Amino acid sequence: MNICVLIKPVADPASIRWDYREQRLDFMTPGFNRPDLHALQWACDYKQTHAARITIVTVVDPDQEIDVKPLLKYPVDDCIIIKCANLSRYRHQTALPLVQALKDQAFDLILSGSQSEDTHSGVTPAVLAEFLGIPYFSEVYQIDPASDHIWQVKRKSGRDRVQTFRIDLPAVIGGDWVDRTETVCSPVFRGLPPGKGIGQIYGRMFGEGT
Amino acid sequence: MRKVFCYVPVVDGTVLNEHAWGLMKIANKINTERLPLAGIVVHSGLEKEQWGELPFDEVYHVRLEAEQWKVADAHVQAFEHVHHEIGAAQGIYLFASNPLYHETAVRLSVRYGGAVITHAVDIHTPNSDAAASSFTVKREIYRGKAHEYVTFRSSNPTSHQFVTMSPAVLYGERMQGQPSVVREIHYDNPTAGKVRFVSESVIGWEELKITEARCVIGVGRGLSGAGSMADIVRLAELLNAPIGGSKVADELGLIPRDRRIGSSGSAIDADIYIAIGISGSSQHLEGIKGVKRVIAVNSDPSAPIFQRCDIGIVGKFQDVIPALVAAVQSESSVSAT
Repeated sequence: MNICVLIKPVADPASIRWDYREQRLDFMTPGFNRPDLHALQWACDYKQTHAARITIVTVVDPDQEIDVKPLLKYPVDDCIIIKCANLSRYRHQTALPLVQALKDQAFDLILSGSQSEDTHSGVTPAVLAEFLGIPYFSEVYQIDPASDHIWQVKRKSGRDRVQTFRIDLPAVIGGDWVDRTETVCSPVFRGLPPGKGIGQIYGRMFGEGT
Repeated sequence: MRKVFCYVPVVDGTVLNEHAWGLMKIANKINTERLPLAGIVVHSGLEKEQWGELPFDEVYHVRLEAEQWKVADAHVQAFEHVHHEIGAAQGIYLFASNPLYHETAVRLSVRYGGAVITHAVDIHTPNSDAAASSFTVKREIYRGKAHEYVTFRSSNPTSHQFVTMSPAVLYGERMQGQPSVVREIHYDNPTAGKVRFVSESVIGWEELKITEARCVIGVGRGLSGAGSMADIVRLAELLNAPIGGSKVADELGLIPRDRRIGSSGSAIDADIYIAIGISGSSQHLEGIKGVKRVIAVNSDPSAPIFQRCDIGIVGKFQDVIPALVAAVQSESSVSAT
């Protein structure tokens, strides 16, 4: 199983405050989108019991510095950093450099959170799936492999009902694991896998306007 | 011709509710140019009488099989079919932003080369003479700590503009109208997609979160040393209501920590809250501010919970709860027959 996890760098919403003197948001502590990290945790849990290769992909502005060491504490196999200009300005176009990077790679499953904690748009994974021509399913809180290429996913419907769907792989699945942040799904760091880590990271620069 | 379209939200494919009227209210608000207002209804069994009363100038409705209706892929195909049948009308498309409609709207925005703004909480138009396409959309960011105001970059009035509205702001009274066009569009065979609906089930009371349940039972100090909770558990089973409680109940070990209700625990917004042996401290009442109806059972008639409740029962819970269980069982058997 070749799994790709999309990780978005975001400012931690818990730390953000409004600076009344400067009239702007302040205390922007850099971090990663927690629903994405939960997707990564799910992939790592899956890898413990199944043969799987995990690639994490993140898109950043060229002048944005991110500390990927927290990501490399997970047992990932590859980490792709895509540098793309004007990302914050045209944020709905984040999917375009992702499409360029992923279209020739044979991922069975692309995981992410359904929404990011900063903009709450929920657009990028859906647009990515549409451009790649594969199905997208969001707000999933449980995934179970039904067979090699068909997985069963569960989504809450209303207050107290659960809908179960079957989805053919390859697919993009957006998770809704945010509710379990403080309890079940907090990241478990397992240390750097042998031979992996910072050396596996490479950047891909795309031209402005992509 | 440019139009404002509502992709009318339908609960379970068969019922129009306040989300539908709320979306229509938003559509009327932004329609400052008096563009034709059209409703697209993709459903799996709405009653036919409703079409002629919907408050649109034009109504286009498509029926899908119940299982297809639950999958965004079928909605995308149905929309494309409608779009084709009515002559590729361009304009503003309003959707609710629950997962099914959100996925549909975003995918359609890609297919039609349009733009999408999601999870809007309000839409502002600068003045009554402004073009409908020049509206500004208000959204919550950073978990509701701030708002942002966004607009579509393209001023091209022929483009497709998709907006999904947060369900939290979609409420309104039932409206009626006399559409000049009511047209059923037959679409029998959506291509089998790669996502298939399998089943739907109810989450049991033991797994259901107190923040998500329609009915919640809360226990408090009154249960301390009172013996078995079997009757309360039976009530929870009958009502599919998770059991939470006050801070004291947590400290006494009657409930797990994550089931604490109040300012030091979770805030709930259930339709019904049954408070058993809870006095109703201000901290606890803070956690049930969003509850619609409160039923309180307490042996102390001066307990503050009786100031907050809709139905108050003064008595020992050991006497009251078995009677309540019997009443619910009796009502359930009447409903079943």
